[in-house]
Amino acid sequence: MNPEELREQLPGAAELAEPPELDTALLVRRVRRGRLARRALTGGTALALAAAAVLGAVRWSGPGGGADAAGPSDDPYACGRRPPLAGPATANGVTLSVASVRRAGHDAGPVIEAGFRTDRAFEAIGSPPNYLEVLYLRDGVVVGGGPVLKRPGDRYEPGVDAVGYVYHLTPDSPLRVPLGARDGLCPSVRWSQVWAEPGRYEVVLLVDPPVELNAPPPSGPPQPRLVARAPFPR
Amino acid sequence: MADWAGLLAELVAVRGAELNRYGFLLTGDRAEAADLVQEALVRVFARPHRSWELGRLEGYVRRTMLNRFLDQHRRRRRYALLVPRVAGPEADADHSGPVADRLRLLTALDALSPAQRACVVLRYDEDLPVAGVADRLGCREGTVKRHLSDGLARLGAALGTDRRAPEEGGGA
Repeated sequence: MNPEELREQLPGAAELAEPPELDTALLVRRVRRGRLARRALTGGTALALAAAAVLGAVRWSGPGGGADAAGPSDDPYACGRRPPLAGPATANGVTLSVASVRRAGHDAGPVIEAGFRTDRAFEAIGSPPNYLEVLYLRDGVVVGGGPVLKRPGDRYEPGVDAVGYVYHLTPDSPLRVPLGARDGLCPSVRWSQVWAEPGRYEVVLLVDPPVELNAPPPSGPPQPRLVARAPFPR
Repeated sequence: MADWAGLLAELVAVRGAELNRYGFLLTGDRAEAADLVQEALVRVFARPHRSWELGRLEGYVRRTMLNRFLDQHRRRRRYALLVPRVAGPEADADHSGPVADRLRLLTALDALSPAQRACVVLRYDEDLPVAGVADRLGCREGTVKRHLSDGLARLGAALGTDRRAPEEGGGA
């Protein structure tokens, strides 16, 4: 097909979209809920946290408190940066681990499971598994990950759904959470390169400490994110 | 009403139709397009920004729509066998002439991969240069050119106008 023909025809095809029915009042309410949840999750006021808990909307992952204030180019978790990974693997009685990393194919990222081990039974609320943050490091430098992977020069602040997701934690069996697709790579890297030298790469999981469902809001400064690491499978 | 709420209302009023149209070209489905626009608006306005200028906000919304569209397809690939495809516009009642041509084009666009479709929409509807498309998608220009070339070939085959593009995927 000729590009010019396509240029002529696409606007016509787009006309088949009916006029949008966007309810501004509803959008404003949804944005307001998202903002409340964000404030709660970035160590905001107890009032905001209570509101978010009532709405069942508490974020568990995504940029930490400091990252929001920084511009995207300052983000330590962006492509090419050497991120600080001094965070603990355990907080509030929950230990995070990379439960498994399996190779799925030559041109795709690994299949990853997060593991949560706990010393007591409780329900934690957080982001859905597909929003738990993964980084791929090569020699300690970010070369991929997701769902929020900032590429070089990316000045966009990607959104993270602030939808509550309940995790049932029990002491007898660690919870294994499949994370879904994490195929994002920085522009200079290809999966074929990664699988050619898997020993140079590692998987890092970054998760905000779990918030117990219906527990009183935590006081004090925000806790550092839990960090778990594992090598790529060979 | 907070400042952001006023801006949200203004963006919806002034650019809502264009955003919806963009979403429709990406998804080929009216309901999905509406969802895409709404989700993107909520995400963008729920986050802090250095600039709350309307044009920049629209850029954020479009980028969020594109990311979400590609992300949804990555996930959907895994469920493709379980989730039956809802009827597309071709299921609508009797169309002929130009409308039929448009529906054929939409159906042909459905045959493209999400990345090819995104490249085609950004290049030929948004009129971005190849470099701009690459920047938007976070990939190399060569990759964009390949997607455009493959996409045009597929569209040509589907529409029965199969002849190689003289231009693609070249230039600015």
